[in-house]
Amino acid sequence: MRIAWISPLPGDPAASPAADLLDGYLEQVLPELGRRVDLTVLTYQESWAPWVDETTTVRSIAAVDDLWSELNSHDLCVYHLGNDADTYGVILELQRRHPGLVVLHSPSIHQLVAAVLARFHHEPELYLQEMERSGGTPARQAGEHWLAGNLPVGAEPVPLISYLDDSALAVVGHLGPDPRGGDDPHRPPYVFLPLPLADDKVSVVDGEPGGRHLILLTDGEHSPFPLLVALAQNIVHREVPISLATEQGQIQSLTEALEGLQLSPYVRLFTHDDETFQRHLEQALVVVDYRHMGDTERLRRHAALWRRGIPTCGPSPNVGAWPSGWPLIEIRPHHAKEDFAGFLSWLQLAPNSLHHFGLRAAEHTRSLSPERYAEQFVDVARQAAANRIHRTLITARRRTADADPATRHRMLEFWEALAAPPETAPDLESQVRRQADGAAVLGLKEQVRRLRNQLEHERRLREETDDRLTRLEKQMDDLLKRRPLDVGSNLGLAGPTLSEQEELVRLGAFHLWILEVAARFPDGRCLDLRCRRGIWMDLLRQHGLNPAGADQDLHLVNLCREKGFEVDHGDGLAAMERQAAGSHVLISAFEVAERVEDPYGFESWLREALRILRPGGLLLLESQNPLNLGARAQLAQDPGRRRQIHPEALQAQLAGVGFEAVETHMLTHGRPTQAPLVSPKRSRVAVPELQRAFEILNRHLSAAPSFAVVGRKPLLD
Amino acid sequence: MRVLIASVLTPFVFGGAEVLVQDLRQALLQEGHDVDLLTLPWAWNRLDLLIDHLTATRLMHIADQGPDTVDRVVAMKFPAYLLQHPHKVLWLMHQQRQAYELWDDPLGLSRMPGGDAMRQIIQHADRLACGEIRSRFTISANVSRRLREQLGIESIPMCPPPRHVDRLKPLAADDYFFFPSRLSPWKRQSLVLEAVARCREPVRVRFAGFRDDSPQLAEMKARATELGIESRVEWLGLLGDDDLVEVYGRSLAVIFPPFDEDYGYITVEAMAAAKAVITCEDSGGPMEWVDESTGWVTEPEPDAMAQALDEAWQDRAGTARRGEQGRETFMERRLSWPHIVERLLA
Repeated sequence: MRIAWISPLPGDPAASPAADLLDGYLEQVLPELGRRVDLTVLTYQESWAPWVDETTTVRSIAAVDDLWSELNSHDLCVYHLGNDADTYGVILELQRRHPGLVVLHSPSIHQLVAAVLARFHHEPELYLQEMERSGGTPARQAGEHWLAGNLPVGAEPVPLISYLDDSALAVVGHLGPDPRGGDDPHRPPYVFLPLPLADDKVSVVDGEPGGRHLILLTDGEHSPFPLLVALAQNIVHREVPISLATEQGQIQSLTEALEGLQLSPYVRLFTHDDETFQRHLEQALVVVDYRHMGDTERLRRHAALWRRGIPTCGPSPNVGAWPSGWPLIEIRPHHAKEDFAGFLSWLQLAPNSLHHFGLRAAEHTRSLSPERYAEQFVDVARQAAANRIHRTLITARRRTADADPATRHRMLEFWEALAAPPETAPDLESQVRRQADGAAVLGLKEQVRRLRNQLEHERRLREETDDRLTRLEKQMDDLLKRRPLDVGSNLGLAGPTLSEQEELVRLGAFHLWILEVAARFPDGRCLDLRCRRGIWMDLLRQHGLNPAGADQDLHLVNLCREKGFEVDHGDGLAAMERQAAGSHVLISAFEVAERVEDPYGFESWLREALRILRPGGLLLLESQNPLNLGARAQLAQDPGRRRQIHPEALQAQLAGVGFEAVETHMLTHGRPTQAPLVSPKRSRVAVPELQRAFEILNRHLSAAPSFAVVGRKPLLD
Repeated sequence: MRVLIASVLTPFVFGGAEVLVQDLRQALLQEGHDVDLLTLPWAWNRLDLLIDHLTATRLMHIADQGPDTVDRVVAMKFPAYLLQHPHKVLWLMHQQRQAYELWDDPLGLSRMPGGDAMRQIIQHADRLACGEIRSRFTISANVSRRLREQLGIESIPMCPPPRHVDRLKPLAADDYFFFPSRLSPWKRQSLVLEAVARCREPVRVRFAGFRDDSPQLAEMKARATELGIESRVEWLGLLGDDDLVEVYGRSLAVIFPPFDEDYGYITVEAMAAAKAVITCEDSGGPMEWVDESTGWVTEPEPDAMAQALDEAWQDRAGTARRGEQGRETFMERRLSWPHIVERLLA
């Protein structure tokens, strides 16, 4: 992973003091990160402390030819932000344009945002709007006071971290849980990573903690008198040695205060650098650090004590945001006396529990190693980089908050699809694969056809027994006696109406085509012209296809509709004309071709079928075979059948309009065809003319009663 | 059939893409279809606008029934193919190249703030849109190759025939090579100047296809002067149709060595005029057409190109033979608008 780390660096006298606060942090973190990712540090400074160069690759942004190109060449940009506008303003601007991971060194960036908007951009109204968005009208009013210079530093009502909502991919904070408040899932994720502490910065005390001294650290900024009053009111001062360190300028007033409170015998007063005091500090039971300092510095100082197993007390403007369970006992500046009194009571009543608190302090700070920090940071960075599109779309979502719900729903649908598109498009490769599946089905079909033929042939041979010969010869005799031939019943042909069972048997001949189409085009649309009672459509539906039909018999149409099929009442050609081009995968028409009187009209019919088929789709026509005498008799019986079509003529007609791979299949529908009336070789009739007549008669009697022609719409042309 | 051609619009820019849209429209009309154009404004270089434009395009549903029905949408450029219609066909001119092979180009997305996010979003949108279109065509094998290599998406190349194709024919050759193209670093006129300066033969080149006030023209002329070849190059500017046909016809051969061209009408026009084509091995589209039998394919280096120019200049009969072979190749490919229309509307 390539990370660009945009940050001020320590060591440049011209840089803000804020940069120096980063000193320990960067010194510990950069080498660890550099071991885990490909890291480049970019800075707006022109010089920096030499150790940075020894640790990682550093470049001054001024020396970069094309900044955007440089940033885009990394998987992720990490931006450091603090509250000081002179140091961080330009970094804030950069991250607004090129989103990345933000590292916050302060729980508030109010001063930074206020300065950038109101001072750099001269857009105070934008600052006020941001305040209002973040904290409502009271925050806006506070912003007005801020602009007027009426609010002191540290009294800002909102931290304005929400200003990062539209650009940051994620936010890392060092000073406790999410300071933004609220529970808005659309904000960039906030991750709390405690500042690391290298082993060489503090000495870890292993074993049992538990010094003797209660240490008080004060300065001139925060008055320690509330603490001293609380101390005077609790007898714990008689039981625990107390050392108070302060600045030289405070010694006099504190001496007087201790005397006034009658604490002088119990509390020893020092300056911070006093050697005796340092020894006492080494043996601290608990440290109450009541000095004024920034949050980062406070955390570092407390953590250094925790690592030695010493629990601490102290104030912090954001102390409420610190994680629960941390070994810090809160003393709020405005409630210092009450808070400290509460702590003293605890100390007096359950002094041993302070030891356990100390153990927890040591345990907790051991987890703050630079290695651990770097590991966690890299995890956060990877997630932030993976989250880029998602965050970008959330920003768009904010801008479209006013859209009507229906439109917004469609937008969200699109964005969800955009954030996770299909890994591979259903491409031609899969089409080719489906075609290969189809080809496999075709191959199988061919094998089955051959086996069936073979079986049929063997069966016929078996049936040519003497008994049959005798029976047939009897028939021959009947013929010779000019008895009329009942061809219809003799050949077992379909009567004018077929039972459902018979139709199923008949349609079973087309089963392999159904399998092929269903394999290639699951859920494909099919159209059955002259669909009758919908038995074919039932079959198609059973195979996962999506059939509809047309028929001219209203009664049958209604039957089909009751079964849930969409069926047009009327002419098949008209039904096809209503369909979109390329919309169907299978068109079937049983006993239709012979019902279209005009061959040219039938050509239009075929062209229309070709139009509405999608490439690779099948046209399946079945017709009675005029080469079969029985079938021919049927044709004559049914006035709806206007003409006879020779199988080869129909095949040629399909090929002529543009179908490819046109095949003709003779169909027996599972019934024996009429065996030859007589085998000429076995015939006792020697008259050659009669033998020829028998040959012709045999051919027309034993021909398949019907045939199917199947054509395929070309795939590409 | 009622057909809508969907493309995108860069205001006040008219180039090859716009010509292709017009030609397709004309071809559809000639085949008896109703045609309309939908051109969408498109801003690709700002992250916030990018999302808005993509979303706006996606929210457009083109009617497929009712009185305003459109039977087929032919989408040609990103992000027009995001709009919604059940019978949408892709005939891709090119992807948003700044997010792909031109990522590091001076105008590529790597030079824009938020470029990484924009690139990712464009690629995701391509996957999404191409995934839902079943009939995917492109204007050249090179565009299909990019689609396959960059996104793993297959497509079928279908080259459009150039304009004037019926009028282009070989005439008695004069002593010059012809290089018709707008002036651009991607078209590599400067490479040809450097090559001419290295030629042993008294090679002459006529450049055309650019406005006289084109900002690069002065730069090109200055370079020609520096190289001492100003008398061997001519700058013809924009040519009318008749002149263009004439200059093509009388040239010895056509030079067209662009960098990674999508298609390159010029190659096909040259072959229609029975002219050998001198191109480079990284020229993209022309490589679908040109080989040693129809021209020269050189490294994109002045010395290599100079060698090809010398050979073409010296061996007139051989050059003419390659031109004839090119015309045969062109005829064999049978580029035809009725064929394209038929496949787009199949």
